[in-house]
Amino acid sequence: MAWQWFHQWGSPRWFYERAERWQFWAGWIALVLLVLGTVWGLAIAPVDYQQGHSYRIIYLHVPVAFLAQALYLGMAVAAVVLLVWRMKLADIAIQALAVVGCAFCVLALVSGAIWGKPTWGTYWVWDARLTSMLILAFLYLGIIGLRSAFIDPELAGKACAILALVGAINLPIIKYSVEWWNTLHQPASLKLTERPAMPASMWVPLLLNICAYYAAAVYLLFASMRTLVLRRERRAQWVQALVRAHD
Amino acid sequence: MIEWQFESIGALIAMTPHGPFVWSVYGLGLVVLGGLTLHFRQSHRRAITRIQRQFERESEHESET
Amino acid sequence: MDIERRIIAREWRLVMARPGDILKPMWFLLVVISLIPLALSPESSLLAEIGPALIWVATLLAILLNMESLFKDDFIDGVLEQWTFWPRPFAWCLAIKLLTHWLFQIVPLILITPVVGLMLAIEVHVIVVLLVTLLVATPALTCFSGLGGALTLGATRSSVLGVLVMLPLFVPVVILAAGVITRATDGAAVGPLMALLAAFSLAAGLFIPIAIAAAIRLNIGGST
Repeated sequence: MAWQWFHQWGSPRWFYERAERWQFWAGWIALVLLVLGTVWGLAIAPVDYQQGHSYRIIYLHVPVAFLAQALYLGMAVAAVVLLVWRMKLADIAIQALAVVGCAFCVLALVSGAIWGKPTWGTYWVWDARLTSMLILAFLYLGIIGLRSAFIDPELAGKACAILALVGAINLPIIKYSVEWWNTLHQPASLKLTERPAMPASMWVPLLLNICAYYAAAVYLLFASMRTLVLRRERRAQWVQALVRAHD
Repeated sequence: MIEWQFESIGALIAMTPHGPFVWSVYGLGLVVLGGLTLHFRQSHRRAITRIQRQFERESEHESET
Repeated sequence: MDIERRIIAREWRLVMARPGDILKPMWFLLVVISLIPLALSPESSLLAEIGPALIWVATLLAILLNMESLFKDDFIDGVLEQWTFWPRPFAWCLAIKLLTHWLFQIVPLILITPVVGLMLAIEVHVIVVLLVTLLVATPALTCFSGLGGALTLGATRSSVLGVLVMLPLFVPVVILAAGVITRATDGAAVGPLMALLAAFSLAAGLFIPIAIAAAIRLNIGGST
C-alpha cells in the first residue's frame, strides 16, 4: 500500500494532475492566512516596549528565514530521493526548491538588514544569524548556477543533487562554526530574540504567518514544478493531449 | 487583547518613527512573492503555447509527407 | 599496493612533465600578497595584524586556481574511466590521487608561506602556527576543490563556477583556522581547535572522495 503511494510520485502525469488541485488550495490558504496574519501583525499586535513599531518586521522576517532553511532541508531530501531512487520528479523538485528557497533567503537577508537599521543603527552587522543566512544564500546560488552551466538536464540534476547533499551535511557545521566565531568577536548584547516570552497577542499572528508562508512556498513550488514537468515531458502523449485540449 | 493599535490610517502608515523600514520590508515581500507568482504563471502559459506550436508544426510536417 | 603505487607514480610523472603547474599558484600567492602593502599601507604593525588572514585567503584562492584541471585531463584521456574497472573502489583511487595532488602541489605552495609571512612582518611564532593550520586544513580544501572540479566536468560554461560553488563550503575551515591563529597571537593554547581542524580534514578526506566518485561516474555514464 505504502509502496504504491510512493511509486505514484514516479509518474509525472499523476503529479501534474494532482498538483493542480493542491496548488489551488495552497494558494488560497496562503492568501487568506497571509492577509490575516499580516494585518494582525501590522495593526493589532501590541507595540514592543523596546523596539517600538520596527519589531513588526518580525512577521515577515522570521517566517521567511525559517522557510529558507526548511526549503534547503527539503532540497537535500529530494537529492537523496533522486540519487537513490532516480525519480525524475525529485530532480524537478530540486530545481524548483532552489529558486524559491533562494528568493526566500534573499528576502530574509534584506528584511533583516532593514530591521537592523532602527535596531542596531546599521544595515549590516556580522551577526551569527545574518552571516549563516548569507552563506545559505551562497549555497542556493551555487546550486542555481551549477544547473545553468549544463546543457544535459539529467546530468545537471544529478550534479546539483550531489552538491545539495554535500551542502546539507556541511550546513550544520557552518552554522555552529559561525556561531562560535561570533561569540569570539562580538558581545552577546546584539541577540535579538532572547527575551522574555512573547505574549499571545504577539506570537499568534507570527504563527499564522509562518503557516501562511509555508502554504505560499507550497503554492510557488507546485506552480514552478508543473511548468518544469510540462517542459521535460513535452514529447509524452499525455502532454500532447493536454495541450490540444487547452484552447 | 484584540484591538487596533492605531487611531487612524495615517498613524498606521507613519508608524512613527519606523514607518519607512516596516513598509519597505512588506513592500519588498509583496514584490518578491507576487513577482514569483506572476513569473511562474507566465512561464506555465508560455510552456503550453510553445508545446502547442511545436505540435502544430510537426503535424503540418506529417501531412506534407 | 601495486595500484596505489601506479597512481602515485603517474601523478609524479605528470608533475615533472609540467612543473609550471606547481609554480603558478606560488606565483599567484606572491603577487597577491605583494599587492596588499601597495593597496593598504606599508606600516608593519597593520600588516602583521591582518597578514595571517590575508595569507589564508590568498592560499585558498591559489588552491582553487587549478581546481578545474584536477580531473579534466584525466577525464578526457579516459584514465578516470579506466580506474572504475580497477580492482579497488573508485573513490579509493580518487582519494589516492587527491592525496598525491596535495603532497606534490599544495604542500610546496604552503612551504613558501613563511617567506610571504616575513614580507608582511608577521611574528615568527605566528608564522609557525599559520603553517601548521595550513598543513592541517588544506587536505579538506583539496577535497572540496576536487569536488568542485568533478561537479563541473560536464558543464559547458564553467570558468569560475566551480570556485563560486565551493567557496561557501570552506567557511568552517576558514573560521577554525582563523580562531587558531588569533589564539596563537594572544598566546593561548591552540591544541583543541587544531584537533577540530584536523577532524574536519579527516572527515572531508573520508567522505568527499565518495561524492567525487559519484560526480565523475555521472559524466562517464553520460559520455558512453
